[in-house]
Amino acid sequence: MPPPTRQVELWCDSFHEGTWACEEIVSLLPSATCSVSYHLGFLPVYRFDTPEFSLVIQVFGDYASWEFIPDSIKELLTWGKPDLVAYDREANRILFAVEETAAVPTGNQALQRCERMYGSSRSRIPFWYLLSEYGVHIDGGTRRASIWPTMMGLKLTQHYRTPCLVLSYSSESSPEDYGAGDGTLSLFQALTAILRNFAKGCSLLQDLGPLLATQYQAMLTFVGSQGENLTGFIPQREKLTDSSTASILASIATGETTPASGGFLEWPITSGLPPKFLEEQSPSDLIKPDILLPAVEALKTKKVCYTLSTNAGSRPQPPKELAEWIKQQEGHFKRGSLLAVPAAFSMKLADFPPSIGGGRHVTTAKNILYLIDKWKYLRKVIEVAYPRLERRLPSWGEEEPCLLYVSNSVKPGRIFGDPFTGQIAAFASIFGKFDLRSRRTIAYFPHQAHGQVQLNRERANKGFLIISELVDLLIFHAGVVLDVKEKSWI
Amino acid sequence: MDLIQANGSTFRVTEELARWRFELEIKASENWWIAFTNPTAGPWKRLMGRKNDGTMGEVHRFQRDEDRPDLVLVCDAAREIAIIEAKDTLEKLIVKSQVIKSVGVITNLARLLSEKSDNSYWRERAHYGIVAGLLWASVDDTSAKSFDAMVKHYRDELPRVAIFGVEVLKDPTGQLSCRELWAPRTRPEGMPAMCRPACLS
Repeated sequence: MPPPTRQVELWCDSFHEGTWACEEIVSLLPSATCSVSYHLGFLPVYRFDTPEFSLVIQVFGDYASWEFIPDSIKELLTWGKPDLVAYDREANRILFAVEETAAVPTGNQALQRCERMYGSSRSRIPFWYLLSEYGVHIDGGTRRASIWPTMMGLKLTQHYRTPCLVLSYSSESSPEDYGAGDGTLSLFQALTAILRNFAKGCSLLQDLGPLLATQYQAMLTFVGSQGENLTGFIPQREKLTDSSTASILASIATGETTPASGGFLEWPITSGLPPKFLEEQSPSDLIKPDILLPAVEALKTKKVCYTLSTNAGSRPQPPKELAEWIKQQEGHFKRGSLLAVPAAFSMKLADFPPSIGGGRHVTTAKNILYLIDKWKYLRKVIEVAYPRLERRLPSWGEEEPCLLYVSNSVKPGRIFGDPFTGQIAAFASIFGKFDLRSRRTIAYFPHQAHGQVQLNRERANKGFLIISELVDLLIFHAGVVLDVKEKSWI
Repeated sequence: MDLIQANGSTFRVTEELARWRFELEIKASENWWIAFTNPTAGPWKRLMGRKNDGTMGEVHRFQRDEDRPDLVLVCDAAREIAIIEAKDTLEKLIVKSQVIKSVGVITNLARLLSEKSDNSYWRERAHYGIVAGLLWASVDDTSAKSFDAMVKHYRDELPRVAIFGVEVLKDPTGQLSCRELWAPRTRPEGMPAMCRPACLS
């Protein structure tokens, strides 16, 4: 008697991605008889027959086209739109989700899709992010990918005990080539194994441990080799080269092992830093003056705050556009919620120093991320910068460590969109939102007016969803604060 | 086998669906091949050429902020290149800002490709003719009159380029098919059809 046929719907951003995935799976099932037909003249239907199982994959391109898109996929998409989502309609469950990008993985590119990792992980959906390790920048030079998505995958795996992997394709000699490196093949080996398990009626991750361990090892190796080019310090660095780490991560991902307390890659408060790294922490000058950040920089002198790099670049903006944006921000500011203690709009073009090329600098500090030992230190400097906030900020535990994320954009609307949402999701996940000693997350938008945020309208916004879960406070221009958890303006 | 029942009332034909349906038509064609397609993501953002032995290679890589067409097709037999703009409705193709953008894309890409004779994957194609295509989705046959009216929006800006339409038709059962439309006496002589004969108007 032939085995029963199991069916999977492969939902995709585009048909190309869906059929690409299916063709890769075909190539990994050499013993299967594979056929493809087109339902209604365009919907790809792949059929795989082996003595052990029969599987049909129906591809649905373009999420927005379909009335019967499952609610669970709709919910997942609200956290960012992965490129591939495999769905079992019979059991109403998502088997896996995949994000892949051909973009050169430098700057914001690598981070701006990270919210999708979070969205899948929080729903315990196995997730893979495939990106190019090497890319050719517009200046013709070769760049290597950022470590942050990989770090995020390692952290989310431990917290949610679900596979969350970042795989790389390409090589230094073949940048951006999907066929170079191990990542593409490894991704489809994993997806094929899950689909095979599904078709055979087994547990989805059955026997995937060794493959996942190989993938985690590649991630650890990448962080080990690239990490210190991007940051001066990686906690528990020795675990990156410990031969058992990848296997432990794989068994955490498959639910066989519980993560050890005081887990892997937990960024300490300053007392846990290597003395030399801490000693080198010193305040940096700002490119564009700011009322709050010099005092935050000064916390480094007191050795109660640290940063991981000081190389945020400045991309000067054309004065004419900048002036227009400031005018728009002022309009938004005036439309903002009434505040118990009024704040005053004070942004003007002259605040932004001219650049050599005729633009204006909008970058304030050379860091976009500060790790601060205790909320009381940050609270104090916020209150000094903005006296109207004195005794009005949340009364969290004074000893709680926190993370300050800075976004300097002046263009209106750049709060909940790309790349900020992905950056915040990545930094909050990496730097301690889920650690035993959890960090509070505060995002500072010195050039954005609070009036852009309409709390009653933001519920369906991807960025707002992410911020609602991962951020505690938003600080806007003039020190207007949104207590995200309380949904209240300060 | 019970597939999830997609039918005429369970989906709408977006630009992605329409373009994909036409691409399947081209893949079935013996004469035309796809040099570039513009889905939302993935490893397809390069315009590719091919050598006589069939190996494909990059001819042009679109920059992130560069306007791109939705499809570029090549017919070596007729020495023609089709640069196609797609939208989910015909109406969207005749909005003035869209006409300006589409004409710019077609004009710029035509010029760029004419300068690629040094590229080993492109070579002689730098001297091929250019035809401009407009692709849209519909549930009713677009009349010749409507098509001619649409072409007029582009004619002034593209006076020397043959313009054709590709209509992706959805029937009440949800079946999609393609239909190729040309204004009278504009189809280049000897140019093979893009859509299969059964689908031709």
